[in-house]
Amino acid sequence: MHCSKLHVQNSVVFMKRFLLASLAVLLLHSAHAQIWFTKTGAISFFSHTEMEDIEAANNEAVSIIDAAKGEFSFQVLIKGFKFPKTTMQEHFNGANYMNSDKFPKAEFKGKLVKPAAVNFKKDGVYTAEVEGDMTMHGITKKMKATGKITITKGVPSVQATFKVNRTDFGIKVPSFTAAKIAEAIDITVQCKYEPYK
Amino acid sequence: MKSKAAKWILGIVVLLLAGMGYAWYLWNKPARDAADEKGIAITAAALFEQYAANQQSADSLYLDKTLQVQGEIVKTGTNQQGQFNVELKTNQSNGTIFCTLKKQEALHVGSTVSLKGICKGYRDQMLFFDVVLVDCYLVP
Repeated sequence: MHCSKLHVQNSVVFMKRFLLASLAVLLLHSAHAQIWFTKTGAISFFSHTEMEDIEAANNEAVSIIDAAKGEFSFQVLIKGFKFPKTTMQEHFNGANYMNSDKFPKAEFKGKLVKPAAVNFKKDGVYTAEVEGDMTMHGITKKMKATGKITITKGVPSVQATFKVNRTDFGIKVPSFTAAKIAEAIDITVQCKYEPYK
Repeated sequence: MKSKAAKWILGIVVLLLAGMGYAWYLWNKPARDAADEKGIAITAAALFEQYAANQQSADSLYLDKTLQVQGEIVKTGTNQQGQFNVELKTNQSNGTIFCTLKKQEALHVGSTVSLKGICKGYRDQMLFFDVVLVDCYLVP
């Protein structure tokens, strides 16, 4: 009898210790989870030809960084790109160009090529290469881009400019406008993150 | 003879002017303004539910349409361009209606509002989901 009582007491102590330890592990884990996000990322593009310069901007890009894994994801709604001219915006969304009724978003999911290149826990400006899959207009392509990751008071922000060949994504555009739209489009990304809880 | 030629010339000039006029109209077509459109009235919860259930069918109903959405504000913020935004509550804890406003309004978390804006689609990024409305006005 006495012996089994002691046993019960021991197991209660054990349970308490176990729970405390698990709690500590959980807290430690959440402190290190380092998930960052934004719903107001700015993505813009610029096309330059002899005939015309075209610019459009979107301020509702979603982006998530998993700092522990060095993973980056971006998603942007095609219809959300604003052009200075309404007719340009209509053409851009039309069936001959982005066909945004059928393909409403563009996406990039990738990883740091060298995970050690960025120390998310130390303030500073890091230049890093990210490689992954870019999907738009229904086509997915591998790509690499170099960007600047700035950590300020522990909070990351991302800035990157890179070129995308529209023909790689099957965006052919009608011949009478082809001269006005560059094949290599400059894409600029600017995101400020907040911690995900 | 002379008058026939004159008629031809006049006809061509009229066509040219019409063409130029149309091109001018296209070039200067004013941007869409949600304030000028009636807008489909819907609650934040119902709009989100439809998008979460079937993105394609919801897109066919709401994408690029003007919507008037009613819901409770759960978050307010400002984007990098200084534009004001609010998120409306839905029946899913990680789902909202995300609205970028045309101009700053005195909006607070917890109040229920009606916002009219243009629907730009559904964002799904594993951690959270939302329907995006831009150029929103506060409906009095």
